[in-house]
Amino acid sequence: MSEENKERASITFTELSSGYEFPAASYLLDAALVSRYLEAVEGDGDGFVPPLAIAAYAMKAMMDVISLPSGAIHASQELEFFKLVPVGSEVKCQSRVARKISRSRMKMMVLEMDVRDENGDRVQSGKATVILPP
Amino acid sequence: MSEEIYQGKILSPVVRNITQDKINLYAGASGDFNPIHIDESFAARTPLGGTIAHGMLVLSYVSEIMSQSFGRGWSSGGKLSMRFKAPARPGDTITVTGKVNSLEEREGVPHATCSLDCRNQKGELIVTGEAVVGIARKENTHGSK
Repeated sequence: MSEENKERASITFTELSSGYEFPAASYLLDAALVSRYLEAVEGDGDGFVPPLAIAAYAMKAMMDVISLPSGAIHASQELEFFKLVPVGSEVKCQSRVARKISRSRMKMMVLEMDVRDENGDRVQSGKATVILPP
Repeated sequence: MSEEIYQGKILSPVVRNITQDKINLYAGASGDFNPIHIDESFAARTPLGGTIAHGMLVLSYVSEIMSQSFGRGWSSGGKLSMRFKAPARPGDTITVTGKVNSLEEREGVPHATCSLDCRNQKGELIVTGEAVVGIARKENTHGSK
């Protein structure tokens, strides 16, 4: 994660609104990062970044910006992969709040993300639904 | 990668044991330190009653079944849509199963639509959904078998 990304201030769920666009976040998918990921998921490396690793880091980039209450859980996930990403690549993630629901005991968000490589080619897109504790 | 893809084909399952150590390892690798995953005393006080595995960790097993069945075509042209139905907990054995439900041409490329389920050792559904993936032309494909 770049220093620029680390310096962003946290935004609370209350402050977020549908359509909010997160600042773009760039991250380097180097060999050490991918190796740690593969060890954690008991996967084998093939010189390319596992697509779920890219998704996980894109989610982290979003969660670095949002200050969610402890206990928030993942309800659903959609992902689409467009291109292989070699280990050592830097990718840029752009994300937005597609939908926010906040009722008396129901709080949830639908987050959309779009990940591109150094050439600007789309490598992955996704949509995550997160439910927050009441 | 499988030599042959056909409608009705059962994908080779992926089986993984979930432990708190593995959850902690994933937290470190992914940077997701939500206490619902790693803080046992915190998690015990929530409605979930204990720590749970990261949803993205379980989805990595789903991605693995697709990778082992469809190779790099999965990582460069796959589409996944999954719903989390119940938590995966430390001590669970998760089995990911999949089946090719249909084959169809999309823009001249054969695509397989697969149903995918993750269940724990009690048979409880943890994650369910669907994946679509393009199949390389060199694959031997059939409408059914």
